[in-house]
Formats: sequence, C-alpha cells, structure tokens
Amino acid sequence: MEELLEILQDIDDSVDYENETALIDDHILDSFGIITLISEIEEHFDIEVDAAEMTPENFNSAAAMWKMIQRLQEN
Amino acid sequence: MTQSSTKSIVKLILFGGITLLALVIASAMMKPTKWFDEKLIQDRNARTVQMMEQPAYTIDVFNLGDSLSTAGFSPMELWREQGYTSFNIGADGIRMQEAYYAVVEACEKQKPRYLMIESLVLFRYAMGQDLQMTLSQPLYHRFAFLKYHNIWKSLVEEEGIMVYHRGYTINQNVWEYDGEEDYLLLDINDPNSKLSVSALNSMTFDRIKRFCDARGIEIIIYSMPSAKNYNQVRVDAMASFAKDKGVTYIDLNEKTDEMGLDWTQDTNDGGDHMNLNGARKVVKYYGNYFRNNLDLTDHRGDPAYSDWDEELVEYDKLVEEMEGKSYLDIYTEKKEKEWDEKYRKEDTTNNNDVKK
Amino acid sequence: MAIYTNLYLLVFLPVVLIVYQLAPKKARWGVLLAASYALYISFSKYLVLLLMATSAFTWGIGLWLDKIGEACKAKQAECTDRKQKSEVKKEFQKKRVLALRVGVLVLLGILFYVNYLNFVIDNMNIFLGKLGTQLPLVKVMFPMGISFYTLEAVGYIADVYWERYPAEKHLGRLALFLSFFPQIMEGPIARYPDTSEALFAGEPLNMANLNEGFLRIIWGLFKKMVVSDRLSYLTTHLFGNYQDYHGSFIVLAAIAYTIQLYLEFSGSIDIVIGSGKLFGVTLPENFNQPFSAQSAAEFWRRWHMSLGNWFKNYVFYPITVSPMVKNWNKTARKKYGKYWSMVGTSAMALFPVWVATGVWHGAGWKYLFYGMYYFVILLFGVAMEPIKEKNYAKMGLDPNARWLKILRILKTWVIIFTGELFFNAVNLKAGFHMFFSIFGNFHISSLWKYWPNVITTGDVWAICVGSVIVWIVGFLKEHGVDVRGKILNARTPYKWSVYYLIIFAILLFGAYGTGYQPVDLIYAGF
Repeated sequence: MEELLEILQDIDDSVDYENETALIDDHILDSFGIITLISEIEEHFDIEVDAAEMTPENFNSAAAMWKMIQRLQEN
Repeated sequence: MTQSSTKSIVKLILFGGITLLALVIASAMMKPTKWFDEKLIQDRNARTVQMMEQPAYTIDVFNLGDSLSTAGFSPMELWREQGYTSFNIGADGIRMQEAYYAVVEACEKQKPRYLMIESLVLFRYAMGQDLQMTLSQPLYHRFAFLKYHNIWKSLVEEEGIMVYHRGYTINQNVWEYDGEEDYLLLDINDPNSKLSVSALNSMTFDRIKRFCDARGIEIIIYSMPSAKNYNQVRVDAMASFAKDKGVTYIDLNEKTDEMGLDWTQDTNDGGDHMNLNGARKVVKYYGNYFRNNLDLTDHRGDPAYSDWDEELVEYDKLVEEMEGKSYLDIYTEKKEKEWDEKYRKEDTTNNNDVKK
Repeated sequence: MAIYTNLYLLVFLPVVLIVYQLAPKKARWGVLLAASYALYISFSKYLVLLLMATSAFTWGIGLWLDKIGEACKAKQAECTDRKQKSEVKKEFQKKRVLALRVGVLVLLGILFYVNYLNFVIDNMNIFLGKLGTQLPLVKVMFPMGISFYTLEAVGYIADVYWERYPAEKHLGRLALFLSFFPQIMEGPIARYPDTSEALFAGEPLNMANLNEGFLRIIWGLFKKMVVSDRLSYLTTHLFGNYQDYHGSFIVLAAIAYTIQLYLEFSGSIDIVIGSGKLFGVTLPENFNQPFSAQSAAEFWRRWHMSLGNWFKNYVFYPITVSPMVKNWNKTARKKYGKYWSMVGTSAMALFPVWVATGVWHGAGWKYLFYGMYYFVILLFGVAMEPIKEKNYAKMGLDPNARWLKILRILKTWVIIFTGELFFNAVNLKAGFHMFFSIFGNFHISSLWKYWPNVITTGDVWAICVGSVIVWIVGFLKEHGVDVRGKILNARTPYKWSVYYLIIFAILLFGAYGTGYQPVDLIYAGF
C-alpha cells in the first residue's frame, strides 16, 4: 500500500489519497493520470491490468486500487 | 384513490387551470384595436390586424392567398376602377390551416360577398409541419397572446416603414422575366413542388367553404399570372379541383394576352410576383369581370365610404414618390442617409483633431 | 415529431403519461416501449425494423457471451489444477472474443453503411475518376438516432464481455433501453445499468418527479426558443453568405454559433432528461457548465459528457491497456523515459478517439478536421503539463490565482469558438476561408455600424437578456448553489411563480409562430 501511495503522490501530490474516495467520479485523477498510474503499477507489482478492470469502482480510491492489485497478483 | 394522489391531481388541475386563465386574460389584453395601435404589428399578422380595424360590414371582396395574392392585387386600384371595396387578407407562404383562420378572423365584423382564393396555397403542404399547424393554428386563434406575442419587438425596434393600403404594399421594382414565353409548358423547378392538392388541404378547403356557405359568401379560386409557379399540370389540377368543389375557377395565366400582361415590365422578381404594373392589369381584368358577372355595389359617392377616397389620394401620392421603387429600396436609402450623417460627422471631427 | 414541438409537448407526452399511469405496474415498461416505437415510426417509418433487429441482435450477442462464459466455468469446475483452469479459460476466451468482434463489427458496420459509405465512395471516385470509372453511390435512408443507439448497443456488448454485469435475458428490457423515446433523437448515451432498472420498474408517477421533469423541460425550452432559435437566423445568414463577410463579423459568427449550439443542445437535453424524469428515469447528464473550463481537456469533460465518457470507456482505456500499446509503453519507458512514453501512449490512444469523435458528428472532411484539431490541442496539453507546472513555480505564480483562472478560461473560449467555426462552416474549405478572413481587415467598428443588417434590435435584446439569465444560473451552479433544488423545495406559491415566469417568458419572447421556421435540431441528424 505504501508503494501505491508513493506512485500516486508522484503523479499528483496535491491529493489526499488516504481519504479521497471519488478520484474518478470527481475527475481528480484524469485519463492521462490513469495511463501513467497503470504503467507504474504494472511495473511495480508485476501485474497485467486489462480493459475489464477499468471501472470507477477499481480506481476511485487508493484502497480500491490496492484491492484490485492484490486480486490481480493472485491470478 | 389515496388522499395524496387526489391532492396531486387537484394540484395538477389547479396549475393547468391557472395557466389557462392567465393565457385567456393575456389574450384578451392582446386584442388589437382595444389596447394598442395596430400599426405596431408589421409582420405577417399585419393584414389581419388592420382588417379587424375596418369599419364593420364595408368590405365586399376578400383576397386570400400567399404572397402571389398580396403582391398582385391592389384594393385601391379596384376602388379607383369600379368603386368596389376589397382587402388582402393573405400572408407570405400561407398554408391552408392559417388561411382558414385568416378568413374566420377577417369575417368577425365583415360579411363580404366574395372570397377569392389564390390557388398556390392549395399546393402547399408537408406532412410534419401540417400536423403541427393543425394543432397550433387553433391555439393561435383562440389565444391572441400566442399569435401577437412578438409585439414587444415593436416597442424596442424602429417603426416599420411599410404602408399597407387595405393589405397591399406598393412595389414598383421591375425585373423582367426572361424565360420561355409559353411557361405553362415548362416543369416547375422546385423539387419540393407539389402538383396536386393534398387530402388535408382539401379538407381544410371544405371547412372554409362550409364557413362561407353559412354566411352566404361565394368562393372564387384563381391563379395569379406567375411564370415561376404555374404550369399546365397545376392549372389543370386546379380546374378539376374547383369543379369537384363546385366553385368558379379563373386562371389568369391563360389570360395574359387578354390582360395585356408584359413580362418585361409587370414583374418585380423575374416572373414570380407581380409588381404594381402587373397588379393594375390584374385589377382591371377583375374589375370588368366583377362588373359583368358578379353582384357588387359601386360605393363611390357614398359618404360612408369617403375614407376610401381619402386613402386613394394618399395612395396615389405615395405611388408617385415611390416610382420604380419598393420598400426595400426606401429602407436602404434611409439607412445610407443615416450612416452618412452619423459617420461623416465623426470623420470631420477626426480630421480636425489631426489638423491640430 | 421533434421534442421541442407542441405535438410532442402538448399531445404525445401527456398521452403517454396518462396511459403509463393507468396501466398496471407490470405493463408500464410496455407502454414506454410502444410509445418509443410509435415516436420512432413517426420519424423513420419502416426503419423501425432496423432498430428492432439491432435490439434483437444485441440481445443475442449478450446471451451468447454469457453462454460461453457459463460453459467455460462448467469446464473449469472439472479441472484439477490452476494450470488446467487457465488453459480452459484461454480456450473459451477465444470464443468470447469472437462473439465480441462479431457483435461490434456488425453494429458498427451498419452505422458505417448508413452514415459513411457514400462519403468514402465519393472520395474514392475522385481517384477513380482519373482512371475513368466511378463507383455508384448506395441509396440509404437515414434511421433516426442510429449514432446514439449503436453506441449504446456496442457499450452494452463490451460491458457484458468484460463481465461487468450479466447479459439481459429479457429482450423487451434491452429493446426499451435502446429505443427509449426521449433519448432517441439527441442522446444522452447511457450505459445499461444506469437506466434499465428504472425503465422496467414501472413505478407510478409521483409529484416530485413530475415537478423536477417539468421544470427541466421548460428551462430547456426557454434556452432553445428564446435565445438559440433567434441566434440561428444570424448564424444561418452569416455562415451561408460567408464570402460577403470578414473580420469582426466572422468572429461574431463563431461566437454566436457556439452559444446557439450550446443552448440548443443543452436545452434539448434538458427536455430529454426532463421527459425521462417524469417517468422516474434518471438519464445521464451531458453538460456541466462547459464554458467555465480552463482547458480544452476540461471542456471535453464538461461538454457532451455522455459521448466523451463513451469514447473514454470503450476506446481510450481499452487502447491504453491493449497489449500492443502496453508493449510499446514498456520499451519506450526504458528507451525514452517516462515522460515521452506517457506522451506517446496518450497520442496512440487519443488519435483514434478524436478521429472517431470528429466523424461521429458527420461524414465530412470538416468533421475529421474538427477531431484532429482537438487531438493536437489535447496532446499538446498533455505534453505541456509537467512543463507548465515548472514554469508556474519558476515565475513564482500561484496557478490557482483568480486572474490566471480567468486567462485560462478566455484562452479556452478562443479554442472553442475557433473549433466551432470550422464545425459549422459549410465545408472545410469555407472554414479555412472564414478563419483567415478574420485577420485581413479586422475592424470592430464595422460590426458596430452594420450589425442591424444581420439581426434586429429585438432579437439582440432577447438574446442578451436570455443569455445573461442562463449564465447567472450556470455561475451559481458552478459555485455550488443548487438552483434547481432550491426551486423544487420551495413552497408551492414560490415554486409555481418560477414556473409561470419561465412559461410566460417562453410564450412572450420565444421565437415561434407562423412565419418562424422550426429550427431543426443540430444533433438530430445523427
């Protein structure tokens, strides 16, 4: 989770990722931020994020992203 | 029904009722002749509104139709020729649904002997717009507020310059028609043009006829001379339509020689509409036709119709002033004069500054 | 029967509302479906069969996808280890991809045939003409709403493929989703789970929904009839006679058209969303004060949002996570660094999005240009982002300073007005002519002198006052004031006063009446 937060801070350090739960819905993280985010987490966590995972539910909060990462790591 | 749903229905009905009431009151206030000068209305309702200003029961002939009818017939000329009173109650691009209500409203205080209908209106229809008009025209008729709602524009804009003489506006531009002389043999250029009368238009015509029959008004269908709008197919279609409906049909396109119509002098837009020259010839023809075939009274000398004589004097004066011109020309001249005055003043001021 | 006509508002809607309410709960969705098909037939007649076939086809593909998925799970249950399960999955995945491809290709193929084939043929004929042959054009009738319902159908199939929700087993539900009458003319483009429940629930009408829907509808009518319709006379004249105008008049044309487009489109969407709300169906929003955007990218997150979201979800993201792009990204990161690989990935994803967005609006070079125009601007924005941040820091400026915000908004406006100039020009050549003529001979004084030639004083008053009212409401919304909520929650006398004010503003100042041509909806040709 720490690594994830670091990655997110790198992309945009003005956001409080611990508490924000509407990163996608409120356009806090935009589509280009997502591109960077995905390439970073794929590299760091050695997972493949495919199109089926691209939902607001998976990206609206750091916690949701972490859940997705763990799930993808298992498969 | 539950109590809350009854409450809802009551609310809905109340809301609708208040809206209706407000519309009725606003429409009553909008009745021209009561609350505002009818000259404020210069758009397509101008003729209707001015018609309603006429002294009651003084008009003998109505001329209904689209711009062909209003450009090609001048009531003042008919008055001059024969002393018959007439009025143009048509409007540009008029459709049958609007035409019906034009007749109804014109007849509020009038009982003309004859209603002349220019035939092009019967060839005008389009499915979608017709359905709309069938709904909207009665609404405009019943709620004057909807019909004249544009009046606020007259309050902020300049006064209109067009003068209507019993529904006719003077136009003396000349733009000759240089096409085929036997234009009745040509096809009509507009791909949307219809060559037969639609069922809906036929039904609306029946409505107009019923309205007129009940009042003893006789209908005459006619076709204005128009090289751009008429050919043999349309004229024949109209002849058989009129026969079906049991009304007289006069086709002026086949009488252009008799009328002495000159396509180099008598049209203001290359064969579409008549100008004043053409209108005079049309009126002369109708004047004779009316005198020989119809039952009309020559009102010249009757003091109750003295306003017609007065207006004829003004009309002739304006015709002389406007020789060769139309209202568009007058408007353009007026604007140019205004701009010259406004901006030449500025230029001289600037030049003075520069000189200093 | 368009949504702004008295036929729709005074006859169709009330009749459907009454029949809906009187129908038993289980049958209400059927009323909506019948009404939707009735409206559709009034526009496109027998082409309703195409809509029905598309619905059935989409339904079939969804079921097929689910069936393959179930067969896969069944076979997986028989497996003993993870490796086997993974093999089975791969095998069935191929079948699922096939079903997806068939579904998407057929749907897009129909759309291509109807909207774009003749454009392609026309352009091919330019080359073929030199060889002495010509391809004949195909005869097509235009099915209303095909650009909207096709996207909804493709989105549905993609969602089912991605197992976001199970396929809909009930054909009627899917058919209603695709054909729901308020949406069929101008959108918004919805996702299946957003609206299907409410559409099918058959909830009775209630006062809260009726009030909200009604207010939405009359507000939309106000925007369209008082302001937008008047502007259309001006823009039609200026764009139609563009060779006669230059300089400040062209700027006026661009600005006027943008305002006209926004008010007419958002006004129509208000009527659409309001119509849905009457029946308790919440349709997705399409506009979020687009002119307070501080960049072109932000603008497209606030303008025609349902279209932007569709392209984001079904084109942009899938491309960014596609194997080809990912592989390029991996190598690019090592070779060129993070910044350039991000720019490159963005370009690869943005390009098809903007080609598609451009031509979605129409088959024409000007639409393609429109899309590429924004592609370049948005890509430039992406590339400049980190540099911009550094510059702000260097100059010691607070990027959130008021005056900077205003500057950015104004800059965005210039971008938008220019884009719309090309969008509405007769064709691309005319667009360039108009654009360059701004710079030769620009005198604002000529606008001051000659504007009465192109628009009347009364129209100017109505447009200005109306626009200011709309602007104020938007400004309040942007700063957190829920104007609509406040009105709807006010006590009845105040609420009804607002209703009556709007209604009489429409009846008094609206551009309607015999002699006014009904202004065709700009987006209804899709």
